[in-house]
Amino acid sequence: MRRMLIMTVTFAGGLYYFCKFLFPREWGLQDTLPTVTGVIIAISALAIGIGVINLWIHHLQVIVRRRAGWYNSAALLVAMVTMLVSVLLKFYYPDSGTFKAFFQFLFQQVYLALDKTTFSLLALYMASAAYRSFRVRSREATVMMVVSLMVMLGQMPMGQQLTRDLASTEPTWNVFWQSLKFEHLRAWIMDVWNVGAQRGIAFASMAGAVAFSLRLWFSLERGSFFEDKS
Amino acid sequence: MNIWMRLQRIDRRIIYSLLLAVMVAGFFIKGVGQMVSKNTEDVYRCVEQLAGDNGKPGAYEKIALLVFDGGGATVGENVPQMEGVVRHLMKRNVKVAFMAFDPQGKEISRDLGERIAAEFGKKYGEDWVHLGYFIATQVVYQTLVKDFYKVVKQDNQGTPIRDISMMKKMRNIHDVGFIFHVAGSAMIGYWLSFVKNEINAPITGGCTGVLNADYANVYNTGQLSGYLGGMAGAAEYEGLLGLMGRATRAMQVQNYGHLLIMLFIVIGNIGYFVTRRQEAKLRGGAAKKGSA
Repeated sequence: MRRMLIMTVTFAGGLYYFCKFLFPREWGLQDTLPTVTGVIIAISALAIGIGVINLWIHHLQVIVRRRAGWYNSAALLVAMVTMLVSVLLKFYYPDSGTFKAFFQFLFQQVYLALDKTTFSLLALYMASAAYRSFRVRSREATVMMVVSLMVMLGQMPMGQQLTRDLASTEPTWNVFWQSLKFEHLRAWIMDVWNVGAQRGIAFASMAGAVAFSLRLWFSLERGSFFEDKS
Repeated sequence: MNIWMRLQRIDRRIIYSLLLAVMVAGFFIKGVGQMVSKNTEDVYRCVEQLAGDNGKPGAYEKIALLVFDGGGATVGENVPQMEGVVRHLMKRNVKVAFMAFDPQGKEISRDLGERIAAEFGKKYGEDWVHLGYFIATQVVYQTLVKDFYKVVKQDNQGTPIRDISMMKKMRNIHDVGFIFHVAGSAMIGYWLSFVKNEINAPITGGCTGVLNADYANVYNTGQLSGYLGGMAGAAEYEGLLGLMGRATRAMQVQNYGHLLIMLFIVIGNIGYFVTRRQEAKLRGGAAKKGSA
């Protein structure tokens, strides 16, 4: 029964978008799109709600049973409630400077700061990862490394300064020297090689997406019915 | 472990410490100018074009629609990009409407708008407005084109949109003369898929450094009229405005950080190369001994 229900709803959802794209606008399917989108947004909101409930159940169990790292779970729930309360207070008392300041403090000084910090740590990690992984182990790796260095040099002001004086009074040679400047090499790599590769990847991934969508639409994808995935 | 092996296995704490030191030093060392790339120049040109068209006698004044689609993780790059464009628009007296397609982006763009409007003495409602947060679905983009006011009913503070002075003149999306969308994702694609063919306004964007490659793709086809790529794009825009803003300073820091990373890559490879040769020599020697 559950299997049949999931299959029917999935197929109907896919069929709607398929028909909306194929049928003439006059048939009116296009006009129903805002309503269908509203339903999708409502389902997504429900999914978020279920996620929040699951999160609470899981972390409350961790706290109650004093499992390892229970204080992290406690911090998560306290942060969640505090942020929720600050948003509600700001929403219901829009004229209150205190509530606005409280929300601003949590958002700007705590939440955004933490978000920025987490992302900034990536810079450090990337520096270390680049040092470890960029080794000229093969021809392909060498090409990759040379190209990366050229793009980096073309991007940064100091790299651009290195080839700033490349020029010649002879017009033909001048064109040649100009093309060797790091910023021009970078532009060439980005606009020609990169764009070509990007489009190739896009075509291939779209073909894959069509195949994957068809499998999802017809409920052929493994795991569609919460069965054993092994 | 010999020196060449050591060069390949430098402790990550040393790398982190040096990177931090170099980044801090970058704030104090005077930097060099940034070359301006064509994609950045094109964004600048679009703003100038709009300001010029608005300034013509009897011209219908068009506004600029600025969309902030980034969050805390991307403010480092997206905010300087948006700041540069907003400063340029306000300096050239173009009216500005902000939108956010990210809940965090709503707060960030509102603060940014308030800050820069105060710098230029611009009044909320007359010179700039924040339209609030919208869920960026296909329908929103399509409805913006069909009936702008079906999507935008009130501003960020809940004021009915028709009561806002600068919006009274705006009839529909065709009165938007410039679109600039900053994001930490490839959401610009929605504008190109659903809006680009319906309006004449140039669609431009700002992206994080890692998305440069994706944006170059759509810029190359002419779908995107211009874009600011990462911090470098923001610094280039500041250069065009003659400003020494936060992007220019940050770019100097990035400059030294990148140099250090390159240095480590080169050091690691020297170590790897020499070790490989030494190993090959040893293998060659052992093979000779074996055959003898």
